Amino acid sequence: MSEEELAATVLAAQRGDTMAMDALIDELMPYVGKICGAIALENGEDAAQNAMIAVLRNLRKLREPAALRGWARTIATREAVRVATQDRQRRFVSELPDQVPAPVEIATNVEVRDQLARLEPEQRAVLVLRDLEGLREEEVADLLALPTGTVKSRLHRARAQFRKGWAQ
Amino acid sequence: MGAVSAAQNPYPSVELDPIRRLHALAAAIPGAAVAERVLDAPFEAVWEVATDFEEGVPKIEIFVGSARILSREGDRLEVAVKYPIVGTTERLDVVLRPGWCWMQSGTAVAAMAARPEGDKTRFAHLEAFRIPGRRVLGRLLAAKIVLVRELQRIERLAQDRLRASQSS
Repeated sequence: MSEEELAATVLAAQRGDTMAMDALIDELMPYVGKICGAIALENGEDAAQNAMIAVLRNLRKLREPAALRGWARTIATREAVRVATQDRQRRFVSELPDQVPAPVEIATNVEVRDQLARLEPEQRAVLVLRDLEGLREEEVADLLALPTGTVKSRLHRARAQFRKGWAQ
Repeated sequence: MGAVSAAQNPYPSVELDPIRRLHALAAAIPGAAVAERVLDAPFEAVWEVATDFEEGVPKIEIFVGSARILSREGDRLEVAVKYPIVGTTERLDVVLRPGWCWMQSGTAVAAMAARPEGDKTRFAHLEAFRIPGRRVLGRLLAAKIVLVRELQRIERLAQDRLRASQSS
């Protein structure tokens, strides 16, 4: 969807055109799906559904249609962290697998997922936004409402833990 | 470090299945009513009768006298629907994909979502009005008698069609 089409679709959706709302889900799910999947893991679908509800319900508050993707990314990240944190609180650490995967040269989806599961949701969020989405540390800090120093330290710990996982 | 491309991306990602997608949209549409149940018929048979606009839909929707497809391009359709009770004909814009059907006219919204569940089908149906008083009308729909009856008719028609295809 071009920027012009996106702007027209956002405006139509803000006016209550449900065809436009449906089209926005097509447009946003690739972003929302990868953020929620990587941060909320097995609860990714719940997080993505909640994020899309929040996007659609609050669409009228979006003043600049061009900001849609960044705005949706913020909502998806916060929702994914919230859902993952709730899930973590329900679990016992002992439920996590004891065995780490054997070292491999090329990471498969399953292996990355295993490594991600060993991180805290907040660490996953920092890692995903920085390394998958390509945001600068200042942008990650702004999105997560954290000091830049906290983002740096979380990113450092997340990467170190990731490397440690591969080395074992 | 830049963002990884989609082809390289080993991070887990999620999609919204049609049922979740329908609930996400329903949550953002004032007065939308949704009924969901597992129909005792396979997905293919259910989806075939539910989206057979010209033959099936008038048998399912009690307010629809007849329906005629005006145009079809990709997953987009235009359908003329005649409502004998109020004596009007309305043009419906439709998005139609396997398991997903979103329809909108000037006065109403309707949607269907389905996914296989074993040899049965989980099916959700949404209806909403786009006219003043839609919240009150929505509460009437929310009694779900209308929607549940429609689901029962879809189930029965799918079973009939399945029996007919097996005996021929």
